[in-house]
Amino acid sequence: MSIREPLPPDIIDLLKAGGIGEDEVEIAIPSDIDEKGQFGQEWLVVAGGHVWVFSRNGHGAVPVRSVPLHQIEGTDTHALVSNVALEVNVGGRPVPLLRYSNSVAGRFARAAKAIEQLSQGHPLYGADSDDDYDTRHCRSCGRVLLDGSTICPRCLKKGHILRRLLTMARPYWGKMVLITVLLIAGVAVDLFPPYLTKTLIDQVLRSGAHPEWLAYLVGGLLGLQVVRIVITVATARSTTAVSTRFTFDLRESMFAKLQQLSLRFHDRNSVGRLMTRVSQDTEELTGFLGQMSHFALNIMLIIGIGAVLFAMNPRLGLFILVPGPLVMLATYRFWRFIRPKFNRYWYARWRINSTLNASLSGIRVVKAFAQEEREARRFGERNRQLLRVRLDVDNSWATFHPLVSFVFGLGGLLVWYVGGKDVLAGEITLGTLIAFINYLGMFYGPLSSLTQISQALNRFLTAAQRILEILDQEPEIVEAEKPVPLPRLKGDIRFEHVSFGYDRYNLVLRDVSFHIRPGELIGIVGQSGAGKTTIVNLLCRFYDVVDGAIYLDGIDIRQIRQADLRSQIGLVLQEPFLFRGSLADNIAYAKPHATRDEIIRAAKAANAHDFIVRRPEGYDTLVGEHGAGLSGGEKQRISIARAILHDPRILILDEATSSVDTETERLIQEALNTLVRGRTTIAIAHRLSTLANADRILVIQRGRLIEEGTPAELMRLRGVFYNFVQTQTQLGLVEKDRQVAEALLAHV
Amino acid sequence: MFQATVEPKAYELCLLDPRRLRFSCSPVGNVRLEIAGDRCYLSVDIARSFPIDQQDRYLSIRNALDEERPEIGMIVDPAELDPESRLVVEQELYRRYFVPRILRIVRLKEEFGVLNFDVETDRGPREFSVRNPQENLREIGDERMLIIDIDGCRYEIPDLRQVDRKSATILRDYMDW
Repeated sequence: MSIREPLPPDIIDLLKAGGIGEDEVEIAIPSDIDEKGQFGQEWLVVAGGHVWVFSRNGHGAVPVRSVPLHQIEGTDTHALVSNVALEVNVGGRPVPLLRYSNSVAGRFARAAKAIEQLSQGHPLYGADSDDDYDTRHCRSCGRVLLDGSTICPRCLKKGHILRRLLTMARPYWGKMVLITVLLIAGVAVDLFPPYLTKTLIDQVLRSGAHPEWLAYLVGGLLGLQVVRIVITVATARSTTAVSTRFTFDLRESMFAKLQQLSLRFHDRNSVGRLMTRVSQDTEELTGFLGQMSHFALNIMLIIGIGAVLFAMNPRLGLFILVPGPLVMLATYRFWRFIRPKFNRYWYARWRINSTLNASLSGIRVVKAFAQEEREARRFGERNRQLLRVRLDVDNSWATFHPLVSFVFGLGGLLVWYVGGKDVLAGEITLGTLIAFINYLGMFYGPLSSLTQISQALNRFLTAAQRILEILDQEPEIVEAEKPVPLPRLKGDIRFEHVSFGYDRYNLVLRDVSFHIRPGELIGIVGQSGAGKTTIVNLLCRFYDVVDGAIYLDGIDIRQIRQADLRSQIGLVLQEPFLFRGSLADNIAYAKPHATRDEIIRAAKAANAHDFIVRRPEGYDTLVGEHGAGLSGGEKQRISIARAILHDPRILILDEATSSVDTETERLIQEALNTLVRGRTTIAIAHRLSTLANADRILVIQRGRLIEEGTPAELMRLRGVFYNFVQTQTQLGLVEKDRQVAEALLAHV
Repeated sequence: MFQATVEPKAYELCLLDPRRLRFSCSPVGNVRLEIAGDRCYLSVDIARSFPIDQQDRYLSIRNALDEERPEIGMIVDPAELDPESRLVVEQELYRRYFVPRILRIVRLKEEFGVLNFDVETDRGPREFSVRNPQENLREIGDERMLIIDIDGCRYEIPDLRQVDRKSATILRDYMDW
């Protein structure tokens, strides 16, 4: 979805008339609402130093508005209901440009950012890429995709996916051949018993020609059943073995891939979505591989039985085929009819669960407002609904399933009648007829199951494709071809004209340059969204810069071996994350083989030792994903201990103390003071107490570095930092901060 | 019952006297409001309090030039405004609430769990798609339906009885059971 679309000729002519060539057009996108608020079209065009709006109503294009770029102070997308108004600020006043529906809002939002960028005299970076912003439509056919899926069920390349899966299953090929052999053997064994019964009837029971065969034949039937059981067990076991192991492999390689992929990938994909893919999609695959062998068995049965029937008596064989289409049609219709009812039932069940959940988790509110009766009524309503749809499902099943069985039975009746006449006429023996009837019972079942194959195949292929999609992703941050090893960093950091944006139209950092010498403590100040964390992200090389370069010890970080880089940078985040495991495990996260001694030393330095030892299980205390049972400050001290043990050359504190109370902050601050000693430290902070100790402070505003210097220098400058300190003093939030602020103000 | 002479407090309901209000349209297209003998706002937003239940009553008038867009006051019944003001208000509401009414369903097709609509609306023809129909087709009163498409655009079917039978059956499938 580009923001530079080819302009219609009438607008090109208008621009030309104004002396603007087509190659000067920087932005051109059509809206889908016209000036009167009807579905229609207005074009937003940036060309020749102006932002233009052209309306096109029937007879050619008309310029509706134009604003010189240099007058634009900013853009604003103002969300209305189902539509958005794009405004530009001129002279402090909003000037409406045009409106568009939510359908094209994403593109216009990018265009708005681009206009801001252009109005400030910055060119648009890079070529206008055909980015994958539109994740809701299939890229090749434009069909709407289901939630969270990027796979179009229509455009799947089925053969291709199956081939790829087969290639991936290479380790199991041997087993798969075995399964196939077992299936064929099973079918062969299945075909024997009716033949034996035929002989039994014709040669033993009716004619009495070979009464001595009776024992052999019954014995044979018994033997066949035993063999069949052995084959069934063997098939089922090998199928499960292959499918479970194969999906086990898939899950493992998917997880490895997810760990390896760059942060940008994780930005774009929610945790929930990825979880579905790793757990549910692979599960779906397991189920399907089992189903697949079932289908294969059915196909072989149909072929095998068909062949035997025709060999026995071609004419009667034909009669068996007559109800075939009817059987398939009946099954197909049956499922078409019953499936929406099942869906409805599942949905009703989901609804009753959510009602239940809401009223139980809100039970205090319910009771406080004495609304028990109403909740009971509401639940009753949902329950009745569930009852109704459940009855619908069951009744339909009860009614139509026998009907389908009846259709199945029709074939049998036909054979009884036609074959019966043949027996009477002496054309076939009674044994043949009975054998036919027996085969028939094995024939229609598989036939009807085939009607479900395409449905199952589609579901399976979609899941498979989603898995392949992840496995095919390439990490964006790639190791240099000849990475420079950097086993021991000095900690000299240089940003040179760094520009960066998470997408091309929205630069978060603009032309930022600074130099941090080894061992310095640097504070970074700025409003939220100013780009502070982005600096950290770039330094860790979670993302690559769009423009400019970052040097560590004089080497471009894109050339440094990634493992060397990250192993020497320590991060303490605002929201510490503890993994499931003991506190000791969590402290030793970056250094799994740390000795007890080292762990305790780190915890001591982080002011964490005391509260840990006070716990009944001490360092062996188990914590969950969110560090259950620990307070915010305690978790933070654990994460500091982790960083201390990691012993990084460069330490980054991203608002490490902003969400805890003063006393905890003091404890954390003490811990931090031990940690920062002797290493290059970058502290993003709001708290003045953290900043006052800094050797230098960088002030970031809207992606630019606007002030840089020692705290005292910045105070004398009376700029943004000075104002920041002033407001902090007035707020008087924290006693310690207030003291620091007063000390700083003394510099002025 | 009306008060308007003092800047309203945020925690009190302030009902504006429609007879004292003059709405007009500025040259660039902003809505201006003058409260006779009191104040003038260069740009205001007008929002419905009950966009589904009571479209034409309880309008919230907000100052668009303030980033917080604080409420200036409410109009209970815009019918009491003078005709020109009323026209401006109605136009602004029409502009703000882009909820086309579906006049006719030309084609409605269900494919892979997605409903594809091709419709004629009071704002012109449109094609759109709805996924998760159970959630995005909402019954909002007697035979009235609100549809939310994949982009979050809203459409209204004022009366399901007016819709062709085949489409209505598909739509009803998702609501009344």
